Amino acid sequence: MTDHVAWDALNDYADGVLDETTRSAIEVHLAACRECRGRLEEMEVLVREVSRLPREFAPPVEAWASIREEVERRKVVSMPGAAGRRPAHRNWSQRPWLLAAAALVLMVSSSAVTALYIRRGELPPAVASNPPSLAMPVALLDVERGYVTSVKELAAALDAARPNLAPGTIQIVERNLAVIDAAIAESREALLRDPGNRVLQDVLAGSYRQKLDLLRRAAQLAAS
Amino acid sequence: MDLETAIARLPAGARRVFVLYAVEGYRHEEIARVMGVAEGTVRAQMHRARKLLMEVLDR
Repeated sequence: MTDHVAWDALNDYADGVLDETTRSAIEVHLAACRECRGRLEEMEVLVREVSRLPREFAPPVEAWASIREEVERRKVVSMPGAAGRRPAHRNWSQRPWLLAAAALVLMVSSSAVTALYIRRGELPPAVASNPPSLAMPVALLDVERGYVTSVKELAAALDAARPNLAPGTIQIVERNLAVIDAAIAESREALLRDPGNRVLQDVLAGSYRQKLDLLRRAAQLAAS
Repeated sequence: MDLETAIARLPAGARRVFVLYAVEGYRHEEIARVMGVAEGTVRAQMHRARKLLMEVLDR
């Protein structure tokens, strides 16, 4: 047999993310192709081995601690996962008000730090203009919850290292953060009017990523 | 090379997605939400992570 299942499709099959028609076609092929069955088995063995690694296993990646924290915070309600894998747990999406409250607390608590490079004594524009409320769209919360804690942590790291930065550098960081926060505020306002707009969600997420990147670079510069 | 080292050496995006999927047990759509990316991006990172891991682990 020469027309084997493509690598990407076999990956998606292993992850259970294919539609039924494609999945059925691959299963027909697998039944007749030992080579593809072997490749699939290798993929599944790899994931099984990784799933047995200790939960505290955490590769050193930027903002990884924040992602783990976010993941752990949502592990309250058990939900069925894929066969043989750890179940995923979360309840934030079912209780958006809880997330809104946490987001407000996190961003307000970080304001003393972020004020150093935004405008002293004021909340970041993204918070000041649109404080999280019970009526906040879930889509907006979904975008922001992956970033709020990371921003807070990086801002704290930068604050701690601030004495090492030249005044000119701090001014540049402040100016850039102000621009990014203005973009965040604008996207948030637009999302509040049109919560289902995926483009706006992507734009907002992109602005948060820019902010994280800037904070990370500044903190690294201060620490070097 | 052991598995943990191999994972630690993955590019950051592929590593995050792969660990969230394989270690934490999250589904693609959930990872996409947490990371603020499209599901297609999650799929692509999974493809990349598996390919690189298998190469470096010589499988």
